[in-house]
Amino acid sequence: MALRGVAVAAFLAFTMIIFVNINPQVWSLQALATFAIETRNFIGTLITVLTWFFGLLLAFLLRLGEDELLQILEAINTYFTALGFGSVQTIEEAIPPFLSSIYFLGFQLLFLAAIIAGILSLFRISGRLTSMCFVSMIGLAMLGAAAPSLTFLDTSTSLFGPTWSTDSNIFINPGVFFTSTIFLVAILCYIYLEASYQVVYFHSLIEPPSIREEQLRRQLSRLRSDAAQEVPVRRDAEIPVPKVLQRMLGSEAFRVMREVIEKKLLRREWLVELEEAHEIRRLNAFVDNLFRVDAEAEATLTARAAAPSLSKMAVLSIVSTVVRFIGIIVISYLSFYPLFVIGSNAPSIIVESVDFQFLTEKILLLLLPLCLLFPLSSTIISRLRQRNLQSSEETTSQSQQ
Amino acid sequence: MFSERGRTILLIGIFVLVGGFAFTNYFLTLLGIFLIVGSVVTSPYFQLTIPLESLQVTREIDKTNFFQGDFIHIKLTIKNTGRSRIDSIRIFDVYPDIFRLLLGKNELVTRIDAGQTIKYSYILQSRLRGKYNIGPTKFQIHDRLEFRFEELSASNIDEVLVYPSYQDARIMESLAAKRRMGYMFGIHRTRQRMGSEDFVGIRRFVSGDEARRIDWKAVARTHKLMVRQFETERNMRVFIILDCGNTMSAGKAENSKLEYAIRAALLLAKTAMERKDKVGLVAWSTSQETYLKPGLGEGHYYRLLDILAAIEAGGEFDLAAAVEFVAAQVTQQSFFIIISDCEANRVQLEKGVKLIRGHKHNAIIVAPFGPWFEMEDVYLSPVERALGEAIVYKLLEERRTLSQSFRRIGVPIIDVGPGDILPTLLSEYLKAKKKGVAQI
Repeated sequence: MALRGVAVAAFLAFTMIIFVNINPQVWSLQALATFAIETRNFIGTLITVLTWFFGLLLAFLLRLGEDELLQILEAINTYFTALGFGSVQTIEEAIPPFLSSIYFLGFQLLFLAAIIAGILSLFRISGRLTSMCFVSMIGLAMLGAAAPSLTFLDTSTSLFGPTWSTDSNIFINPGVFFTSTIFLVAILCYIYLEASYQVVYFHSLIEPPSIREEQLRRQLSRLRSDAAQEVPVRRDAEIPVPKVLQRMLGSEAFRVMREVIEKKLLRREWLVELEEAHEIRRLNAFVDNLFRVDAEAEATLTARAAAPSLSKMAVLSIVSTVVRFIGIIVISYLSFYPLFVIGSNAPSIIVESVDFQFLTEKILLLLLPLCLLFPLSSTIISRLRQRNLQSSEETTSQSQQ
Repeated sequence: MFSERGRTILLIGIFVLVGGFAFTNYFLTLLGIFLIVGSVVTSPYFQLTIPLESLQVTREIDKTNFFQGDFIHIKLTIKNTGRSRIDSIRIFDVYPDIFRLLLGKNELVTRIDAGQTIKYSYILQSRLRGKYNIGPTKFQIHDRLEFRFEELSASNIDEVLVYPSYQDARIMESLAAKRRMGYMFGIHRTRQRMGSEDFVGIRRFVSGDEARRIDWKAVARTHKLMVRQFETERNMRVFIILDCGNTMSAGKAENSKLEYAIRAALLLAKTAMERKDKVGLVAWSTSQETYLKPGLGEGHYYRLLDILAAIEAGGEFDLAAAVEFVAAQVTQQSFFIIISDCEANRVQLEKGVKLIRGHKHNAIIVAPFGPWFEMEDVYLSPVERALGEAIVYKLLEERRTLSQSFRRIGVPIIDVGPGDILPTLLSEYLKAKKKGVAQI
């Protein structure tokens, strides 16, 4: 319950942050209708263009004159207009509204997907659904950032807008960086992701043992009740045998034949039931004996003893998450402001270069090596541990020899 | 290595970062950095905490030799002897597919603190005889957020031997017990026993007959010298030659000809040994040659069980080679019961049968007929059934010719299906015993 509470709080906070920053004009119910109209117009334009090409090809093949060609093209155009696909738009006129309608609809669909995935993830505690919700929300931010001219994101108050500039003292003063709204919103989004995954982690460890225990109890009680039941002796039920046979065989022969069929069929079913009942009784006896001779058998079957302690897990999780966050924040700051690290030691050729004045190059300068440092060091650790293990195994085998 | 989730987050991070660069959006840039750094930052720590040698696994199996259909309880004890905790571990104990998981689970997801020991168990049922391996235990270790994982495997493999089903022998025992206790009085007629000898009848006196055998009442009645004739029950030497060729394993694993043949052999051995007959076994194919010399007693029965449990179908059945091998081991007259589908090389079969007769042994071939076993418990459409029947007809014709030629040599072939293989084998054995063949 507490886990679900954390997940709900994280989801609501994340959704609110995204939601309040979206221009309310976006929420138009006409998005789907506009998309349909624009799609129809676009397809109509495409068909018109294609038929014109077809007409030209026909005129070329039949060596028609200019007047005849125009007549054919007009006829084609009239035909398609009558079908509802005719268009007077040019391709240049048709594409922008079409793309705009896709964008408009995509925005709403992404938000819908994010909400559905987010709500489902709360009920099912699923990492996959959490990822879907997060990706959809980030997709919204990316769509907003991709087309600022469409003002789907309110750039005047938006947290997503480019409010920092590279020459701002925000990078020089870490306090300003860490208290800026951009940083706070980004870290909140990341907290949502991390908190949701932590909830999934807790759930994956705590839920299965209780389900397992419940399942075993159900299985055992069913086993006991089934074992106590007796298989009723089969009364020979009447099996329908065609009456025509009775006329052919005579009543006595027919009766004998029916009895033979009934015995054969019913006995087979009864034997299967008997066999199943026998198996259940044997299993029940085996389990009873097992519980008698092995005191911890019930606990091991339910894996009750292997269930982790929630309080210990919670404390360790909080500590490790805090350490993790500090690491992530520090590395992110250093990536944003590499001069904080390289400072006056930086070669002037880098600091004064034209490329370094741009955000991309500045961030990549430290981000890439820092991020590659972790996989590299883990690879080195892995190799070293493997080598130590091999050498200790060799030593053990030599001493055994 | 990266898990699926870890890879996804890293890729999303790169995508968002590139988006941030492309649209000059600091929020996206910063979030991208968070995601990228977040997906890699704990990898060195995770690598340090992987318990390469610190996980000790012990598997306890309540019994390692048991009968088909029996239940076994498997208990796993896992101890983390390392100095660091394992945040998330999935433990998976491997067992053969032919086993059925009845209670508990063979896998567990948990966390293990340093020095902690955890235990869990499960109950399996064996569905088929054979030699099987339980294990190894596999581990999948995740970090807290499941961004990284590592797979390890313990080298703990336990071998279990599943004997053929004891059900048939149990039914026989139960019938015998009922009979002993008089519950089935009148069901079976038995000849009146006269000590160690049974009275058979009266015949004319011939030179060499003992004078004490003369039946004077019969002499007075017939005015001829007549003697009483008795029959002594003598023990016999039975040899079961089991075809272990590839063809015997066709069809569903539980219903294969080999499985029925093994069940029949076991029942026959049990019945014969209870009647103090010596039973030997040869399980033969080009890939395995198993021999058990004729013997009696509980120890011999268990040796037979061990052999029957471990038999695997493979290679081609060569009756001639099997008979040559047995003839070199046993010179006394024996009764050979060959359980073979007779689908191997016909020349070798004929040669083998002639060799048996050449060594003055008696023999019968109990031949499980392939289609009857392979069509058992299998749903067939009307067309498939018609085709199947056509094949059966053709094969039966071939079998008839083979049967005729073998009968001329003095070795009958009896075709059997799953329903009658056991009674046929037992009745043939009893017939031979009554005839007094291969007496010790």
